[in-house]
Amino acid sequence: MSALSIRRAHKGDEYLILTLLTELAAYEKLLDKFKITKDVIARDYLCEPPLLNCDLAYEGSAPVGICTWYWTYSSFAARRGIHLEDLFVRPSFRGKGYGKTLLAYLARRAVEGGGGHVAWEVLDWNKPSIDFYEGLGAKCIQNWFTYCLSDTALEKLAQ
Amino acid sequence: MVYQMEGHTYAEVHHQTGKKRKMVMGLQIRAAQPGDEGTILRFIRDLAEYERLLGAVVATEASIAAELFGTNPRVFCDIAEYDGEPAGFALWFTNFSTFLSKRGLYLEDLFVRPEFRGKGIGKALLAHLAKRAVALGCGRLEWSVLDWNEPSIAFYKSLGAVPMADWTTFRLTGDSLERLAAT
Repeated sequence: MSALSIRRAHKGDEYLILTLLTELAAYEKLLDKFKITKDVIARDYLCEPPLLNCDLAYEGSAPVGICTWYWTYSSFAARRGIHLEDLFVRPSFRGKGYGKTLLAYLARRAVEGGGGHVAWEVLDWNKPSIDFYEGLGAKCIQNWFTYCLSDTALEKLAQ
Repeated sequence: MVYQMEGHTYAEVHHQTGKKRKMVMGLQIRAAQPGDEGTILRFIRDLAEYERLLGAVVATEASIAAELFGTNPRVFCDIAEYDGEPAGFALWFTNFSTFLSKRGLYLEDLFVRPEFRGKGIGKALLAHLAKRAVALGCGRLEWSVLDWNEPSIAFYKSLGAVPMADWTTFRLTGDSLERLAAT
């Protein structure tokens, strides 16, 4: 099995987190929407309790991946769950099972924290990732649409 | 007796204890508090029945109390009352978008009892949450809706909500979750 170690991010990790998330945004072709700064990371990811949990993965001393996540709640199931916001393994470290190791780590966090699921979103053109997720037994959520109010529509309703 | 104060109309009513208490006439939205567990559970079950998902409900009054009214709760609930009667609810928590670099407000449940529909209570609950979202510095208010629920989808679109296109949600649960957690 891989020699991957995973630890919670802490103060001092701001630059590394920013670097890894920038690389992820470039991979997702979403760099134009990327607004994260070191200050935001210090304020929102590394505060106590964090608005967004962040864990870092290392191969030896080399940082190779990141996951960010938060707790959700399913009222029907009466259980919390983990929503995985970002999962990224640097391209030069792929093919070693590190993505799976990170997901297994989150599955453990969910189970240990009394959670009943881990959920995440994937761009619908990202076939390699979808195949990988389905291989783990993850199911695509059918029959539900997610709607979103933002910007002026949100401000207008707030008034 | 009916009287006006600070923009609300109140009626003085006789409580079953025999004491008089004041009741807000019309619509009032308030944060849920300990003692509301039964009301919230009934809303959850009524919503699940409407969504044809009643079999998925395992929530109990105890589970609601633990998650909503324990220490440092992460899940919140607002209750809409009409003439003092529980008419609808919204259950929500905050989430986070790394790319927006902002918190969001995720609406898990929104429901108005059928006999209270047509009074704008659903819109009032959403507007209440939009205010909360803006006050918390959130960039989004989001929720999920069943694809056959045309009346709700039309209502959401009329408010300016847009579907999140191009993204698919995957979920790992049950045996698959346990199996992966054990590796």
